Amino acid sequence: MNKERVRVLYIDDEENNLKAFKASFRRDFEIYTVTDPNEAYRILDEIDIHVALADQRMPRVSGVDFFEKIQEKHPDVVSILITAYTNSQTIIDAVNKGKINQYVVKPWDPTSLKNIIDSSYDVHSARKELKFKNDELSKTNDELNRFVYSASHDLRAPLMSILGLVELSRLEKNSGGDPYVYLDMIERSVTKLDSFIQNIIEYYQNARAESNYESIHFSYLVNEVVETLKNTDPNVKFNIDIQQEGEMFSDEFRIHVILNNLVSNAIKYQKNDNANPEVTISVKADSDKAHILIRDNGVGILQEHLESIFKMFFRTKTDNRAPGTGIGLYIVKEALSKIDGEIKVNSVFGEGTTFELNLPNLNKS
Amino acid sequence: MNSLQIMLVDDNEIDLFLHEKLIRLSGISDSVISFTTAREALSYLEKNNTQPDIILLDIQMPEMDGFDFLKAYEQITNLNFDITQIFMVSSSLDFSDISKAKANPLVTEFIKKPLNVKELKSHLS
Repeated sequence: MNKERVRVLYIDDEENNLKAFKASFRRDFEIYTVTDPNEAYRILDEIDIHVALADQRMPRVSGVDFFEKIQEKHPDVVSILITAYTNSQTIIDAVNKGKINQYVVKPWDPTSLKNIIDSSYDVHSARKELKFKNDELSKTNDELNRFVYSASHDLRAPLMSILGLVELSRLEKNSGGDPYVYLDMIERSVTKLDSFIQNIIEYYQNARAESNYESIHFSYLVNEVVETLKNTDPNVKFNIDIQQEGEMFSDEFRIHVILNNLVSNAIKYQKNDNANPEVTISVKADSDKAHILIRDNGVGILQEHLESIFKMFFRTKTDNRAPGTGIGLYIVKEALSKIDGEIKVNSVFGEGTTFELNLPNLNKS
Repeated sequence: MNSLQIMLVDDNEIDLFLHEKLIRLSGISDSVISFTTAREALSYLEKNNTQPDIILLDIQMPEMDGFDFLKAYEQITNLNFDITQIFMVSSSLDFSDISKAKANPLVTEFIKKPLNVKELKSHLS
């Protein structure tokens, strides 16, 4: 990977210093020079500056005060204070108030200043990296907490139902009743538990698996998904329209996971009284991108729930015999993020839902 | 047969069936009304003049869980909270759920699933 050009901001009230700096380093860095602190704040807001240098003695704001001021808003910017006077109070303030990273004494030597800026950039990259890893870690941690909470309920609930049914069967047997009537309830609990486990496995496969780019044949993929799922509700009519021109590369496993979840939802969340349940799947793909629509005339999603449906373990109340586990759409979103795809949802409660997917061709570049 | 009125609130229909059956078979009560959502149970309580003697309330339910139910229940003005005993029921092993249930002044006791009839009976006597 090419190393990014280092973006340096230098603030000094003396134009000549700025000119000298620019003359020495314009080939090495992307340089922003200003005399006015307000202009410096604006540049910091608009441009992703890596390293900032400031003269200590300026009429409107001292270098230390300048760094103190930008500290909170731009904590990643590495600060270098330049001064002609080595006054110990300035150094103490620089460290304590301004959280200065480097201290340079005038007149500076170009070679050593260049080294200082280069190493400052490394500090900046490390901070960015650390922040990114921290965000990732806290997201993973959040998910883990929710997972443990949900597992304590969703994995145990069907088991506790089964235990209760077993106990009830015993009571029935002792009172001369038929214990076999509870078997299909036990079966339903087992199926529910199994689908939860399958979802979790799917989620972790998606999170772990390396992306593998291959040529995608949408008609084959869509047909495979529909063939497997259509038996879950034989009443649903499928309308499939696939137009693919040119070769498109992406991760087949993940597209399969995405389609599988969305189509299975479209079948599952049908209205119980709908005489003509339908699921429409249309794909338009070329060598640039794929546009996929999955539409159903099912129960729809309440407006107030639309924002939450992609969250882990979010569920709504349904009158359905096959309630969800709250993981499916979360997996869809995670899988999409691995293949740079986007998803939009449109839904009218009581009329149906449309999911719209946009997937880029991930070949070469 | 005992004339206790019992209300069940649980999104899991198998558990509703199971609890109703257990309560009847064990002779605790013959008068059981079941709801699959907290909302439906609340609107029943608002509209009806008779209050159940006992409510078995599930903790984890979608949209409105057992704790949300309790918050809304407290707001219903025409209820006499001394008449009804509320038992929270769950298969959860989550420490904070169990502590929260036990700490709630409206809740008589937390009972874990699968429902143990002897345990329930012992709380009623």
